[in-house]
Amino acid sequence: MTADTPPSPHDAAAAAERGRPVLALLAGAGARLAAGRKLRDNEVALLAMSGLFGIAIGAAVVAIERLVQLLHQVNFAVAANQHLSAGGALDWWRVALVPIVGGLLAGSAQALLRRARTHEVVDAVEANALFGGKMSLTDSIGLTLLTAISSGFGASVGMEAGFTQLGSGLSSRIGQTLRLRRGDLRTVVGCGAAAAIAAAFNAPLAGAFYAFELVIGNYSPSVLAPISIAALFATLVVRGINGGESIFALDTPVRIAGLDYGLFAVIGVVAAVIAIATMRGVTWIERLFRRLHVPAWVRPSIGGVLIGLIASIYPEVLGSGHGAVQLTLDHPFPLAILLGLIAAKGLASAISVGSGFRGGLFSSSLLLGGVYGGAAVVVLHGALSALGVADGEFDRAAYMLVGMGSVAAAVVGAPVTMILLVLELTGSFPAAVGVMVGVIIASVVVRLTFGYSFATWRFHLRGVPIRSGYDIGWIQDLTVGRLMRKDVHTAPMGLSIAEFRARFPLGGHKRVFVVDAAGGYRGIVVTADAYNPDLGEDADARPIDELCIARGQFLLPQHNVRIALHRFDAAETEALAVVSDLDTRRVVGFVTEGYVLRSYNQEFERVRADELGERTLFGPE
Amino acid sequence: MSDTHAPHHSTDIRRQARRRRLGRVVLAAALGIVVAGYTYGALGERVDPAEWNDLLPQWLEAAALGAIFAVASLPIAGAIIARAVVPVPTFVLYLTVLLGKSPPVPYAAAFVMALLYAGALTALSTYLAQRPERSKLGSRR
Repeated sequence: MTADTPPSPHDAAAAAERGRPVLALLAGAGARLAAGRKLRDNEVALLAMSGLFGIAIGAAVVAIERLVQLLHQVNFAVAANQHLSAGGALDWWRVALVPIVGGLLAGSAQALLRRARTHEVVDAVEANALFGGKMSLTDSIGLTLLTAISSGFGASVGMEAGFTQLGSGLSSRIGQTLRLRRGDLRTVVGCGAAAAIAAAFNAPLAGAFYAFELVIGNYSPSVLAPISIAALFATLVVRGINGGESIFALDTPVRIAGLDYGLFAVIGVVAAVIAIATMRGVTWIERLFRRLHVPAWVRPSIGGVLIGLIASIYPEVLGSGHGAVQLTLDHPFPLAILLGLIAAKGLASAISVGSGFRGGLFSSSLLLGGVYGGAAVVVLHGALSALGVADGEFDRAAYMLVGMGSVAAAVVGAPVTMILLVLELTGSFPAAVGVMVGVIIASVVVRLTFGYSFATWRFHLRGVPIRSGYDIGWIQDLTVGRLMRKDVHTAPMGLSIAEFRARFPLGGHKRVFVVDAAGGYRGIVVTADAYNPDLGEDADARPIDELCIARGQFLLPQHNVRIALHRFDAAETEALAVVSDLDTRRVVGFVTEGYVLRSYNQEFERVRADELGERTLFGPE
Repeated sequence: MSDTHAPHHSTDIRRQARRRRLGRVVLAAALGIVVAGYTYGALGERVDPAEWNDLLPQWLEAAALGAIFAVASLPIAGAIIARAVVPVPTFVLYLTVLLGKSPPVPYAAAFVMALLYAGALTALSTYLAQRPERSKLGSRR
């Protein structure tokens, strides 16, 4: 079944038989719509779908946030309107024990899930880069629930990764059911992620640009409308349910002077160092936990012991950290507390992710950056006042916002998103411009010295060669099996040239594949070579094997177009045999270099046209 | 060539060994800074100055603990002395923090938690100092 096949009523029946009534309903609706109005060719239908995704995902984000808050209320006895990380007086035994229980729950749940589904969970970035936007909804729901358990039981992780996974997984599932094209499926995955981030932060612009920068991998007019609509509708739903309040509130307007911009650049450099240390720290701690030689499901509970120890002194590290960000914005803490909190939050987040709790570093990096910005103000105030360079008056909120944006941009790998997030959270253009300085410097330093965001660093460690959601999966999908011709003509080894000439007259087949007694591939004979007058008079009796080229050079059906082109270079031949497998080497087809190159170019042009939203730019499909 | 001469290694091997040694020193120093910062903040969480009974200024206590931890984490012969020292100040400092913060942790629980802090830092420094190297070529150990 290909992505370009229109849905049919038969699919609805099949889905119903598999016990999936909702999918059956969607498949049925998709079939009817595709038959009537060609849904997938209708841009307005895609926009309407994006709006529906936004509404559904916005409501789902609110529901999960409430679930996590309920877990905080039950587990840590916080008030209904209080953030766990807001630093209230928590019972010491809850702080010490709940993360351990959470670790056992998360570890056991992961072990059970892994038994049922052994593969790695594909996230939105990986799906769009490698799999044409195809994600598993079951995996996504499982991962979101694990993230909710982790955050609900005090692990130092945010919910954004879970929200994004659920949003993009849901959109992808519906898109697959409706048989959307590869390009459109990637777009709806972006819609899901945009809606999730927009709903999580009540910030539609940040949500939309999160999708452009990370999930789609580029910005183009064709994806602007659906992604913006999804982000906007998700935000409207959240505002309708929760009200229009920003997740962080500033008491006074931000004041930024000329000198501040220079200092923001310095803040950006140090923010990059903090971001790299955090990302490397997670990997390092993950490696430490692996060396403990305990079952994987036990590791999160050991992490829970350490998180409990840290939270016994710094309760602000528990959960996502949104409450702690507001706390540090509202109260000017002394330098000692701020430095301690940076170390504590960095350690707690690294231990949480490294030990096996599920969740991301988006929220953690916001808190880390905010506290770092606050600490920087205390240090600058003391240093510059002592030197008499300035009067020592700095706007703490501005520096905190710059620190927040810079560290988060470096960790998440989405600089414009962070600038817009600050703009939407504060409504302050001066603050956004200040944050832009720090964010740009931090992003450049991380790109030059480290080269990864947290997500792409994790892909790198898994050996997945992607740096963003930009589509490179089409190369994997363009396989030799898809390109090969199957009209193969073979000749047995040992056949004399005279017999060969009798079987394959000149002007008939251009090339013949020589096989051994077991049918295994041995080489290619170009038919014209058997008729070469330079072969001499005794040529008739000589075996055809002597004329074989490309001995031991062949392709497998699963090889992609890139491997095929490398093999053509190495073999220096214009055609290669395609064999069934490495053991039997039965010839199942062949490909020519010219055809492979033409197919590669056509597919490349199609991808470019999809990106630009001009499906007929390079000729009709 | 006499026995006292170091074996000859290529420039690349020696450079790799130097980089590896430097990496271990930098990691130990970085973790020492994290321990110092963490401890400095923790000491600041105590609410009643009359009950602190600190021998040194807070920042110096935190810096000293960080420095001892960093030395204990280095793969050098003298690190064992630092590792023997690490648990005592860690236990004492974190016991005062847990008992002095608001709200305070009950004594028995604070005692156990301070022991865990001391144990965790000692175990980590031991691991860092004794972990196997990938290759000893070019090193002077």
